[in-house]
Amino acid sequence: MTWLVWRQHRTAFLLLLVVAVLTTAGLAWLARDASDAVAAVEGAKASPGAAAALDTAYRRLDLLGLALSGLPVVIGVFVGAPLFAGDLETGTAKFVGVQSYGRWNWVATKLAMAAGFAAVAALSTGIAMKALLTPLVHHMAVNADFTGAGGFDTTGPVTVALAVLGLLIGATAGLLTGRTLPAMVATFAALIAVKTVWSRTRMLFAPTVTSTTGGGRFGEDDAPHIPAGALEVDTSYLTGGGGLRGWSTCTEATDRAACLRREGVVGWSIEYLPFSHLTAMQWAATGALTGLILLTAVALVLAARRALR
Amino acid sequence: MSAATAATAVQNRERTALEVTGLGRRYGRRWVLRDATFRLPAGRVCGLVGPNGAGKTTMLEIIAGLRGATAGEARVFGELAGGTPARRRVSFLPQEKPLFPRFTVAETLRAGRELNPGWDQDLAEDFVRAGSIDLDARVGRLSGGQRTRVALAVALGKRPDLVLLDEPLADLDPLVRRQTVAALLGEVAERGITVLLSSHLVAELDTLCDYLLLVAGGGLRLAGDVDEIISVHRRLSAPTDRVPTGPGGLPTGLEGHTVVETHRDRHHTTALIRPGGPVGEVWESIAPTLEEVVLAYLEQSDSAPLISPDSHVPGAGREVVK
Repeated sequence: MTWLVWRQHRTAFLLLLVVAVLTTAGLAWLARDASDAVAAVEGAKASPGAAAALDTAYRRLDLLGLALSGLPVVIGVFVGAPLFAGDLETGTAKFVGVQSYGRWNWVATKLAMAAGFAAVAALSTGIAMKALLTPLVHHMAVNADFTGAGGFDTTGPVTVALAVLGLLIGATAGLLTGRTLPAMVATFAALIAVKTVWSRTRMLFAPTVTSTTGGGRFGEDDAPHIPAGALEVDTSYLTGGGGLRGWSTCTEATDRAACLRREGVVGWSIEYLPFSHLTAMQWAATGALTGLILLTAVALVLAARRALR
Repeated sequence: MSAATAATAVQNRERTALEVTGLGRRYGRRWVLRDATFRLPAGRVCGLVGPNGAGKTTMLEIIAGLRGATAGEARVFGELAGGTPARRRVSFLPQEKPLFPRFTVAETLRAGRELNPGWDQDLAEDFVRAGSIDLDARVGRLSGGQRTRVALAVALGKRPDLVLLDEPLADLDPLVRRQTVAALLGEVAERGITVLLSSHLVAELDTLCDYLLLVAGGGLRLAGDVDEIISVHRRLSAPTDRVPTGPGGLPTGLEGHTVVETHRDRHHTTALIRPGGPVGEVWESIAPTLEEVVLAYLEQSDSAPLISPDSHVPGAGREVVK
């Protein structure tokens, strides 16, 4: 069975591997570059050239993150969607279906092999991307947003979960439509929808830290400093009763300090996410994605029963 | 159960290649196959005939384990169709003969080997080579006849006891058809394989099959040995003015016979009957061809069925008419 699935999909699997290897190698090389750029800027004698190199590294990180966050879509559209749609379209699902081993064996082997390749591709690019991201976050997290699609979805266990989810959504679309091209289009649309919803839910898993000041000191310079490798999530004024007032409170007032005092403001409250919390956030997010993967797997089984019986 | 009874049960099971009881399949509210009931004795090459939409393909797909039944069941050598034991004993060649177009012929046979534990590589390769097909040729580049041969090689390489063929010859030219049939029948005869093949090429059934199942009007109309079916029918013809229409709407002189079909024009009246006794002298009586019998039953789908005892499933409702 393994031979048949490999023979049938070897072009897609090999292409995926080649793309993953090249991307991983490229990212590893850029990661070393970025580390050097950070070291040069943080060194005793930072040259203007070093600052420019670091700027380039941040810009590259943005672009590469954006491109790499499309990996689940690529896997879903080009590996997942044709996985069964091709066989339903050409009738080869019947060829397999009438042999001694049942079709469920075949469905499971196909999914396991495709998921294996997708996971390996996602894992290797994810590790390389993390290597690129880490020094840049440590230097200046605000320029290397590790909670966005480019940093969060492309590293750690999340990238593997998203790749597998993309694959399963593609395979399900293939079983439902029974034709390759409509399945690819449907997969693309579904994954864009999933990514849009995911972008809005990602921060729910962030284990943030809140730092406050008090004593009536709420000048701009009195705000608590957050570590260099942390991302600011929310900044508010803190009132004596422990409540929060928006950062733009009293901006219209002529005497802002007096206005803020009237509002009961006594200090600052800053919510932030340290880079060290990324791993916990990613595992929590992976847990949620695993739930989504299981739901998709149920849909896939139902679609397979409908398409293959 | 004693050892002797068990042995008899196994023997009986092996004598019947296929037993279909009340088999039906519904898609939504539409029944495409309803209440199919028959037995197919082992070792026969059986033609399955019926009008389009009679559910022949659906029935073959259920027996092959590709589809589930909505009602009833099919058993292959006593094993429930769709289960692993039945699946191992059946080969099915769908009408479209699906093969992987990018595979070479050798890879196609390898796929057969990977998917079937009882695979016979020599048989499959010999069957392909006998058709002068290069094992390294890509399947997508083969002609229709060559594709059919490769598909048959996969079906036979599985070493099945029952082969189901859905319109296997429909898209082949007459010469290739004859060669393919000869090759197939050669293997079938040598290995004692039972074959159930659906076909609308009624004229060719004669040369292909020794057994016939005819499904029409939602039920089984004819089932039995081809020679037997022909021998119990007579084709009659008489001048129309000598056989006026009788009280039952039938030409006079046909009372007491089972009339399958009649045709009447100004000069001649013809009829296909199952004689219930001697036929009047006014009628000229000849043995019909299988094609004539089949077409008559297809045209008159309400005619009385003829089910031979070895096709009859005991207790299945419809009794043997013979």
